[in-house]
Amino acid sequence: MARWGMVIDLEKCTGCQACTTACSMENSRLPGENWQDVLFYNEGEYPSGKLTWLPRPCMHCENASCVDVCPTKATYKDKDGFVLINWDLCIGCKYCMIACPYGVRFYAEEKQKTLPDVREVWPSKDGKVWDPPWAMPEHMNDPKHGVGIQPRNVVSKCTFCYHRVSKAPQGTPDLDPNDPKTREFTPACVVTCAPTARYFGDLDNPKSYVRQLIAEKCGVRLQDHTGNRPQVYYLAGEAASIPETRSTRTRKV
Amino acid sequence: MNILALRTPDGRPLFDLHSKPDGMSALMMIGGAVVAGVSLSIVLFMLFTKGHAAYNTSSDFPWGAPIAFYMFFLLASSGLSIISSLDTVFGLKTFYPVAKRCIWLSIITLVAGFTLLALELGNPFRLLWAIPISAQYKSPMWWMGNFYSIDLALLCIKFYLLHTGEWHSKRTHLISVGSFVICIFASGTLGLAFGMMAMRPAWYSPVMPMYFILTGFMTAVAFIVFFTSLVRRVNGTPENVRKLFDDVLPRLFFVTLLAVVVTRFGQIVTGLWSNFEGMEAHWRSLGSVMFHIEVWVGFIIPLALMSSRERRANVTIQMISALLFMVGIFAARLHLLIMGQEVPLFKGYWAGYVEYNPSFTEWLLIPAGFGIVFMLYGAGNWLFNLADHRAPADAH
Amino acid sequence: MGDFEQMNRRGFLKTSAAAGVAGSAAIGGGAVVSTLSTDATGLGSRPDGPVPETKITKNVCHQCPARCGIDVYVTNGKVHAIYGSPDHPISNGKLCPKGHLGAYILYDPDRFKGPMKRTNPNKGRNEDPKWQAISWEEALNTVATRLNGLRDKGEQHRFAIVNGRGWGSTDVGLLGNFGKLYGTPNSTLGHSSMCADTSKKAKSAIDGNYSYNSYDYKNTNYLLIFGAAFLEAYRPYNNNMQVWGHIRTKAPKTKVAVADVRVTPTGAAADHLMLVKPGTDGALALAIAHVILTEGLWDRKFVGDFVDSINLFKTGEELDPKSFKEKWTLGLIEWWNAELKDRTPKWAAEITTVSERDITRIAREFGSTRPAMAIFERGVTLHTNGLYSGMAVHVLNALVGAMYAVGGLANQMGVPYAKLPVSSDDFVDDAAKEAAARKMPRIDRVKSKELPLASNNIQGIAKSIIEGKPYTLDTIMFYITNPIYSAPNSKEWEEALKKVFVIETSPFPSETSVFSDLVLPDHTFLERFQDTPTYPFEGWPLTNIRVPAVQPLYDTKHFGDTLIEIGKRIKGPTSEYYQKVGNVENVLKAIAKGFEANPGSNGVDSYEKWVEKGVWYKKPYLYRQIAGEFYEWDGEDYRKPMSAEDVKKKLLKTESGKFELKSSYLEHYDEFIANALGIPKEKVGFPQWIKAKYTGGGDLHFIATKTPMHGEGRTANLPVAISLYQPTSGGRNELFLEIHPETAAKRGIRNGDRVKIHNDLGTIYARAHLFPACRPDTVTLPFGFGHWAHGRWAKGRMEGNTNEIIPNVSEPISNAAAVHTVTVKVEKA
Repeated sequence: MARWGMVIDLEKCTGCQACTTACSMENSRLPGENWQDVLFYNEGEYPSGKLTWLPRPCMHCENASCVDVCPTKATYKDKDGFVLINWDLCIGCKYCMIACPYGVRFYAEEKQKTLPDVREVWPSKDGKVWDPPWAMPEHMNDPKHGVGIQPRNVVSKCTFCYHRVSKAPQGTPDLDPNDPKTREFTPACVVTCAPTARYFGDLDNPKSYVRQLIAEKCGVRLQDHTGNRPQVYYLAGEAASIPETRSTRTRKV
Repeated sequence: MNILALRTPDGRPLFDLHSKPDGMSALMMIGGAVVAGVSLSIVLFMLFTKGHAAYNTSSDFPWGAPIAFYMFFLLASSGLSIISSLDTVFGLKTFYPVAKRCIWLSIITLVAGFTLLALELGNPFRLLWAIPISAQYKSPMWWMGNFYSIDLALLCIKFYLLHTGEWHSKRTHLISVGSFVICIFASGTLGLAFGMMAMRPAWYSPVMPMYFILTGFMTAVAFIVFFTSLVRRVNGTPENVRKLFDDVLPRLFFVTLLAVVVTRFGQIVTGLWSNFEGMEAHWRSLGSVMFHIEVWVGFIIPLALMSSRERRANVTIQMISALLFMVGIFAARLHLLIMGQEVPLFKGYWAGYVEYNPSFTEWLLIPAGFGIVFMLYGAGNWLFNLADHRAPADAH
Repeated sequence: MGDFEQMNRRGFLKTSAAAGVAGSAAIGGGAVVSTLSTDATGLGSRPDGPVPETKITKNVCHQCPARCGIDVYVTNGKVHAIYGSPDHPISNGKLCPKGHLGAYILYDPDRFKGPMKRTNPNKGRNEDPKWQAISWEEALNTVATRLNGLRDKGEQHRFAIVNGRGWGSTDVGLLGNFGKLYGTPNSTLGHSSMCADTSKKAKSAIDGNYSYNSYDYKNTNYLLIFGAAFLEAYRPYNNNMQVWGHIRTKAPKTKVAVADVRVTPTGAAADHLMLVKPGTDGALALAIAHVILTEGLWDRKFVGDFVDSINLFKTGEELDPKSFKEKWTLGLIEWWNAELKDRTPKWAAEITTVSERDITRIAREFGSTRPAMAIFERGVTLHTNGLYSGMAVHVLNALVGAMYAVGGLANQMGVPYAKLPVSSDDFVDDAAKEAAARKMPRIDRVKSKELPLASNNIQGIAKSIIEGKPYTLDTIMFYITNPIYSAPNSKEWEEALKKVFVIETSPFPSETSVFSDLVLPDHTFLERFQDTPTYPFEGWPLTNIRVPAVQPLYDTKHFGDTLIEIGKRIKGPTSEYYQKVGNVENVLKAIAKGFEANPGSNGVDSYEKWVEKGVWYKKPYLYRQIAGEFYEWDGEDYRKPMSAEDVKKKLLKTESGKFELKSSYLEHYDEFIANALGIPKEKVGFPQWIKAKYTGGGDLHFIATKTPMHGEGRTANLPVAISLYQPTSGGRNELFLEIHPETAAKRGIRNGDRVKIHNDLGTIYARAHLFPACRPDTVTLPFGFGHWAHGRWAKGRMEGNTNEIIPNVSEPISNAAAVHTVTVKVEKA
């Protein structure tokens, strides 16, 4: 039993979106189906205007509202802290997409923004959304945990790279991509993060570095008032900020 | 087994196939079937060829117009069930004349609503087994699905009992009470499905179930006023029935609409006053066509029309008001759906407000839904003697 | 670091041993792992069914010049993942956003499937070339026939090869010999004049090193960045970001100040962002230098000091050169007298629009923090005054003693490759000798009187072709460059390429290919062998090797092999030479012999080990300046003192062996420079303020930036890259013109409006995003869209090819295209 969690240091994050593309390729996502997105915010005006950004994976909440609303238990909280979707149970009602305060869920049946539609360029022969040549090897597909290319008409989202993390030996406090013993178990976005703005570990393990970071650098969770208690913590440092607004409220233009 | 040859316990045929449908019923049946058939064929064709890309929903706006339309029909169904219960549960005998018709309308609006829902879901058939076995008691949608399923079953039983003349037996009463409770729960949990969403403040409201039940009831009143007016024969109508249509129902219409308007006004004012993130949807709604249809067409004009006793008694005014309210509340359902979703959740500065307009396929679900309702209503009118309001056994 | 890499390597090898032999579909060296087997950690693997082998092949990312070593994961013959190689010193297991998208490039459905010839004689954007597939034999013979025909007529110079991003010995490295043996001066027409030539020239003019610098970012405490998108487009991007994560959280935290013309992610993430007016970075740098001197903040150990140690630098006051004793710089007082004494922050504030307070503050911070360094790139140098502005920035590095110091700048050391066993010199025949004797100028007119200091002039080739001057070209071959889309005034090329026989070697249906007569498609990077020495990085030498991860998907050929095959078909001994060279693998095996005597820090001492590890490198960098003294590495530490002669020979390769604040190199061309820039002849040696010329005739500066998703023409057709292209301004699936709300309001433009961007040269369209943080006098539109070919996703995506409105104006001395000079008018479309 672990409670996997992520720490994202916004002081280090450069907003490059490598996490987005690494995830996109590791998990064979459609263009724009950014399980791991980076959101950009602008505040203030010339000459002191600000540009900030916020990487946004699934928060894998302790009290996940998406889990609670799913009428079929297709979305569930795994014993190791993952919030996952069992694609064999999902009825595509999209209630979870309504209930997620962080906007991390996708329904790939919608109109594609990047055209021509890649789903038509690399169509699936067995009822999946698509089948790109670089899709993860067949044996790694795991629809019960939302891993691989999803069948049509179901909701998808970040799995914390369940197919990698779940292979980590029990009791591992941290998954460090620089440690060859844990690299292959580390989520793709954490592996590739060039400025090492991401840390991944067991929030329940007293030895884990993520726990230490959260304590020392005052890790915060997004939208804590929703009570979802994310397992993704942000470190704001001194030259970064958590965007105050989730929306366009403060826009002047 | 030949269903059409089934008979009631007292020996009458269950389906009155020997009588010929009257002109209006035939028109509704055939017209409804054609409209529903054509629109459903197109929708299904689009869904099979384009998948859900036929809808204008997106990951930023997951719930599209079908949900609003389905909400409209389901809440109307619950309201109709309540009206039928005014007699069967609460003994308000004034409502005898519409009780059976209301149950039938309640059943068919439920059927129409479920049909639209199935067209919105990714895997509608999976729902049939996945919801019952999941036991996800935390999900309002789980409760709602179960309640509405039970609701449909109880409505059918209740209708059967009434149809077979069992108006005032103990078991009819029990079924009626059960059906009433369930339909309150069902529409209430539909309200919870929205009202519990704290992450979407424009929806978040503990009184959302109450609002849903109330507007559902109001829709039902409009429905019954409208649909009865279509098949009403003025001559030869007994006094108690006339009183219901000329006085009681219009007054109920006016008073209920007043209650709806007051509730809605409270929502709008709260929304405009609040600085809370997501509540700006209320400000944006001031610029939305749907909002103005809701307020002016659905609320203000019918309220004005029905405000005097003379006008209320006028069948045409009743019919127009009922129709206007139905159009308004239809827009209101769509508008509510948009309000909760147009302020994006964590999509960044540049995402802007989510723009959503239903696609052609989505609009087609309106004729599809109403086509089903009209078709089944005409059929019911023909086969089930919906004007019946007295069981033979205890005729007064 | 060393131990870590060893351990890492062992981890992989252990897994590979467990998983067995290499899969049949994948070729080349590399470890074999099973992605599901966890044998490396001693735990069991997944129970159900046999797990196919996953093979990791070492390669080098191709999406930018950073040279990131990558691990290519292949299972069942399919590339399904690309990650940074953990044991690679540049990528360190990390990647930038482009790096992961390699599989999209490999499996691009629009790739050329084999050689083809044009059958439609008419050329134009909308002319279908009517390709006819041909065999490689026919394709190569076609080229050889043309080349031999020219050779017979003594017109070899009429054959030209234009190249873009070169990778090493197996592609651009082969071009020189080809030109020599065949007899054309036009075999190495590089693209550097649309790139770094001004930046390099600015540095070499004062420190003698015509190159980028290597940087010791990790140890610096102050980073002053001018016009370089360190966190977006500045090479090596991936490593820069690794550096960023380190320097921004180390103790003490490295302060970063940025001068740029728009809100870059770098500027946004930095401590200070100075939004300068385009083309005025030089003024800012000079004012900073002024403050450093007047406030006595310069590094006395490197620069020297006044004879009596009292700071005599006072604004506006000339000084006696004898009053100052310089150490490693040359001409400080002369420079002060001629230029710097009046370059106050107040003066610069007016020019740059940055406040006097900010300039002074940054100058004091920068001047009083050690180690500190100033870096600059194209934002500064792609202006008509770019050379002198670049020099003004680079001088700051001397003033704070950053040259060759810890946390400072150095040069890049070369790779000790072995020579090929055959020498091209032995195969130069009379035809080639006669050709050389004719001394034909290059078609791009480089080294002519017009361009005496230039290295390249790719942006001028179209004009040469159209005008037939200095002669008419017959055949032109393109390698990894697509100027018909990417050069300033790109439309000019459409005329030019109608006039010559065009050979395109791109794997992708580039714009060039639309005008091509012959297509000889290259492999993509995941299918080919290639060596790739690093661009300047941390100073110590490094070179990678690409090994095919999969067999070529189509009937394509390595560009190097194409060239060798053409060589084999050239008359005379040239053919013999290329028979001996054989193919690019032979070249790689031959050069790798150099590692035998120079085993790398990671133990690579042979071709085989190079293939296995993917990289050879040898740490440390051999030179260091410590407190004004130079030392060489003695095997354990920097303890071997270097004489002034050593320094001149190995590091500061100027005429004086000093860091020249009065450039002797430029003074040799004083007449040319004085004429070209309109400055006094006696001043040409000094870093100085020259007013930038703006072109296009508009009223708004137009900045065409590179975004992190832009991968130099290899990523134009990648749906994922397109879907994430310009995140800072909301550009997903499309490009937005960043425009200030007031600027927009004056023109009646609202957020999201389609706008017309036009100037003397032409018109493009884009959608406007109102961005309150940007300069009101500057609009920004990233380049990379507006393709009219290049595959189904690229083609027709947006109308805005920025190059169609960028005039072909160059910095007059170094001749790099001054693309940031352009101004435009913007109105609602």
